[in-house]
Amino acid sequence: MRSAVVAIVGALLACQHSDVSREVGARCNASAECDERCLAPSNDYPGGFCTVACGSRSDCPSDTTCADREGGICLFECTGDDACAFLGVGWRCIATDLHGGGIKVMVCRG
Amino acid sequence: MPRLTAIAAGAAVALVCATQADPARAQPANPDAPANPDAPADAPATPGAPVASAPPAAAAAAGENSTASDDEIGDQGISAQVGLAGGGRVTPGGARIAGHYLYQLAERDWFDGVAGFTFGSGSAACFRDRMDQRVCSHGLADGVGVEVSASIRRLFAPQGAFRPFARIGIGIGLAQFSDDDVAGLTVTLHGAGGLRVKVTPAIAVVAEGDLALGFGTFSRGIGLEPQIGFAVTAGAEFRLR
Repeated sequence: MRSAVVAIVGALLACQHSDVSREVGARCNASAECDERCLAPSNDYPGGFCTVACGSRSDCPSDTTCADREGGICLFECTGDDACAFLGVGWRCIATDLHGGGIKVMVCRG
Repeated sequence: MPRLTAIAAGAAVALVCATQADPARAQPANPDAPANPDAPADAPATPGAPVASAPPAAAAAAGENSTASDDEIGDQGISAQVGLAGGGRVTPGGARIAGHYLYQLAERDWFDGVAGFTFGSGSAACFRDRMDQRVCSHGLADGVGVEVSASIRRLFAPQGAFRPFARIGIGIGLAQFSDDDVAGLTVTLHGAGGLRVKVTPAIAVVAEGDLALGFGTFSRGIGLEPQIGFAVTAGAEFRLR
């Protein structure tokens, strides 16, 4: 009985998991769909991309870094195109300037 | 989930069956009621007839029932409780206000009808994931909900001044997350336990914890989602009859 309840609760929690959030990563057409900012659907951001502005890497949530685009935005870090597959078709792992860092970082972009 | 439903339904059936199978629990709550109303109160004992004596176990059971009736809720009662509810995702959480109506079914069992209201924040937490599915990740204290539920409450033997009880039931409710413009219809199974302390013959203080598991169907493309919530409430219970 106890194990059945634990298994059911675990399954219920697990089936609600998502890699993205209103803060960073959700699809969007307008900022109202995000906590802060929507990068509208385009070749650079296929499907739209919720993100937050940043001045440095420490301003970004885990698994993201501060890319020097759009004045500084948080994008998902990656090591290869496979790491960007969860964002959908058109997303690739591309070297981009770190905002305020003077170095290149690998982030998911269109 | 069907397995949980089966477990809960089985427990409910077992509780009801146990109640019906035990004649002692079906006795009227009034301890002054005669055991056999047809028998004349002043009928003399038949000379020479064997004197029936209650077995010790039965006497002990009668004593326990008598004790159990001392702080009973009564045939009917009402209760008002306040507390906190924890939700998440698309389960509302926040401040909880609940009203209970109690109706005695058997010596230790009451029907417990509950109308519960949950008031949490309305902040937006729904978004479209990368598969373009709308999902919500509300916190513990988000959303507004109203639910009515029907339960069976069983009182257990007193532990000093405290009278523990357990409750199982099923509820139907509405949940709303205003900033997301999301609303849904929910069906949940409830399992609860608590303590009751008699203050006066007609008033008791009650505290209980309630776990709710179920599903809801929500608007704006969210569809069917699980409901997992808990609540801790306390309040006063008033005997009506």
